[in-house]
Amino acid sequence: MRDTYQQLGLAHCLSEVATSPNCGDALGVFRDRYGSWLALAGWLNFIPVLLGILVGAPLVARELEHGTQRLVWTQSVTRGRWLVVTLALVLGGCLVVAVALSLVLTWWLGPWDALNGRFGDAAFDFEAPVLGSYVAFAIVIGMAAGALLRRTVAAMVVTLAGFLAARLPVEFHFRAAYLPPLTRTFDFASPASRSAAGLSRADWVISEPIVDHAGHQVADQQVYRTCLSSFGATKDTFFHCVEAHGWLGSEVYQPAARYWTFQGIETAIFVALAVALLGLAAYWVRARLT
Amino acid sequence: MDTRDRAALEAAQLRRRYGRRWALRDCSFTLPAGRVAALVGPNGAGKTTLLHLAVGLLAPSGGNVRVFGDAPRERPRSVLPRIGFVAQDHPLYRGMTVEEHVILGRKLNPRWDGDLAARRLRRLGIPPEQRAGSLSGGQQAQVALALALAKRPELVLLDEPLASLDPLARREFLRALTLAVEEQGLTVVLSSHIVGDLERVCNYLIILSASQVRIAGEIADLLPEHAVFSGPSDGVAALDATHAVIDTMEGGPRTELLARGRGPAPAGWKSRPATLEEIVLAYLSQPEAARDALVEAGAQATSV
Repeated sequence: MRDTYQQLGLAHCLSEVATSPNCGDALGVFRDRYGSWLALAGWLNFIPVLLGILVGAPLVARELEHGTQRLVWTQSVTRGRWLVVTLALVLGGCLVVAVALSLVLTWWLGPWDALNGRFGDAAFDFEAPVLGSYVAFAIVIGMAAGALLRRTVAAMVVTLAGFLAARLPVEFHFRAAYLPPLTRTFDFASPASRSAAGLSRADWVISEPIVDHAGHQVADQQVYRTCLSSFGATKDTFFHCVEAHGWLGSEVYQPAARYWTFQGIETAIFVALAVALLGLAAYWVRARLT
Repeated sequence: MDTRDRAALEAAQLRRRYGRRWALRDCSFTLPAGRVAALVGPNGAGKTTLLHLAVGLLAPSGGNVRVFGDAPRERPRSVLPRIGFVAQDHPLYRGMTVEEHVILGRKLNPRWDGDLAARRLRRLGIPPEQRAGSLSGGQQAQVALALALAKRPELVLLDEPLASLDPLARREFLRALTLAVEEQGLTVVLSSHIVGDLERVCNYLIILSASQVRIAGEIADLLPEHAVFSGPSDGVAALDATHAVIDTMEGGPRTELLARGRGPAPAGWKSRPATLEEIVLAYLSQPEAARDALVEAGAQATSV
């Protein structure tokens, strides 16, 4: 990806925002070639939950299934200490894997992120802090499920379901709202006005509503009904119509500068979930299991 | 105080319940240090429950259990290192080698005696590089015992250690245990539903039936206290006046029964010493035990 990025001169394109006529083509080539690779890389999002299923779920459940907890919990160390040390070893190993994966992917994705911003696509999810927190959460949910259910297979199923039940809503619903998004408006018809509004590729654009001068959103249907009503409306007449009604284009976005804040917030969410589940698992192992 | 008379294991009104079923009720006894105790009872009498309570795998539902004065659940750091426990079916990690078990034992036990473990395993001819899952049942039991003894415990709890062994492995296991008792000065509790094997090894008896303790005491005291009496069936009342009848062994015009008491037999009765097995069977089949079992079955039936 880095080689192609250089060959196509895309760095040059970025620095002089689209002044060279070749840049549009070059961007197209680059996106075509690597878009599908990126979709493939998306599957790597399952690595944390796989670790949770394969490593976390059997941690306590397999002892209980094989009856070996009667051996290991009757040695001189208390079972609370056994749990902490076992978890620390397993979690340590898995975090090393996570960080290594993160470094490789972040390096590989570098050029793509330069074009599309790090908030987008794969970049955010593979950054070391959040990836580490996903792994910790997945391992602990597996361990807790194994302690409560006492069955490895059942614990594996619960791990998958529980992980997705937390991970998907956070990514697709809550992440965009960690901090109130900013809004900027621009003249709908003029590209110059659009670039003057200071749009950056690195920002995370959440939505692009049409607004009136007071900043209230105008429903798309209303815009289309008003300005596309007559047959033969051209792009120009459409823009003029929009302008005549005093409507503006806008972008609701999270600025690129908030990237690490957002990483911190998401990491904190999953670490907190992991700690809560660890507390539950520790209580269960110490007080309830036999 | 003489260390031999210190209590190694004490239970007072100890109870444990699973849901609405009592696995152990009002269990009270004191096992002095230095004894080798047989914990005898039919399957499901509560032997495993009692041993799991003693090692802290289970928490009591009521009453208390103490190991050298400490409650296992409240002070695991002081109790766990003093107990060598071999659970039923002597669990080991099937995929781990014998040597890896020894390493695990060393890491989990500060008082670990690696030489002792290695010596025992060598003497038994168990190869250290072999996986636990591929050992015979007898060898697995021996490895589990070696691991328990290498902790340098003061109290050894063995849950049905003989159940899965053939007669030869049984004899070797008991021989290894006897040797360890002599070498290390241990207190041992050995649960079993078979009496025959225990007589040579044990000097203390705890009989558990229908989740209650029937009797607990030194075998040397119990043997002369009990006798088998035979006499006329209509003379049972006369015998009952001086002796506690535990169980009627044979009915008919001349009856044979086992009774407790040191006095001479009443006129018309002949007596002979009872064997340990006869005493155990008498306590296990005494009417009280049967009645309790029925009451319990009834309670279970209504709770379903």
